[in-house]
Amino acid sequence: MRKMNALLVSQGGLTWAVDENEVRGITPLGACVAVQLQQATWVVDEVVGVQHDLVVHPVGATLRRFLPPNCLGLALVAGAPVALFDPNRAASGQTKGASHHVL
Amino acid sequence: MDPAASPRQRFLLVRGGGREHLLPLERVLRVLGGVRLYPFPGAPPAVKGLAEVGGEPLVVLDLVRLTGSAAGLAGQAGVVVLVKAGPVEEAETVGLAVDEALDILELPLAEITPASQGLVAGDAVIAGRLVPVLDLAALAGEA
Repeated sequence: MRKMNALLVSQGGLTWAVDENEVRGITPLGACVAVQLQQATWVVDEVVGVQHDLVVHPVGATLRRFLPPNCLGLALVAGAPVALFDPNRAASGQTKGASHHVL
Repeated sequence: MDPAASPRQRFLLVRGGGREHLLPLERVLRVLGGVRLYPFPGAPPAVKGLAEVGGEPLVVLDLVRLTGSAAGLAGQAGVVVLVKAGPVEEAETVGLAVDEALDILELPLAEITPASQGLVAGDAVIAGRLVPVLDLAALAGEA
């Protein structure tokens, strides 16, 4: 398990975390929020906060088959599960119909 | 082989989507009720949601969707069975959402008819009903 400082956002009813080192800025975008990452802009429902020393639980081969490709791992914040967002997947764009929108 | 002389294995009998299934008990860690599920948008349909169990995040799979028994009911999980999934040497803990856990049964292996269809390793006859025996190692190949 590894620790990171992460920006927490809400998207589609789930809390996602992204390494704060990847975040370049946050701007309102209508009813949503645009999170500028190093190589893409990630549109989310809202920014929830920042979590220091977020403990990320890695996923193995079996679990990975059941996670979206943009999920690097799982964590807990205040007893609720959090998915770790892969900013590199954001950079390559999202498939049609995915719950994340990248500009 | 005489069933009485056959090696025996213990199973957890569960019901999901109106069908019964047998889970190898050696793979079962806990059976939990009242688990709060969080939606996981973008995950495969077999994923019922995420949960927190014992201070760890947990992926909860929908047994009904995994086995193709019937459409799962979103947001509902009678109980969650924590199991070790995937190959033994790389097994990972996942939750299986089922309607209910019914019983623990010990069956002669000779009475299980081998089958190899995705997660189903064989079939056993329980009180006249054909009940699939699930191979949780095969979860590594299902999504």
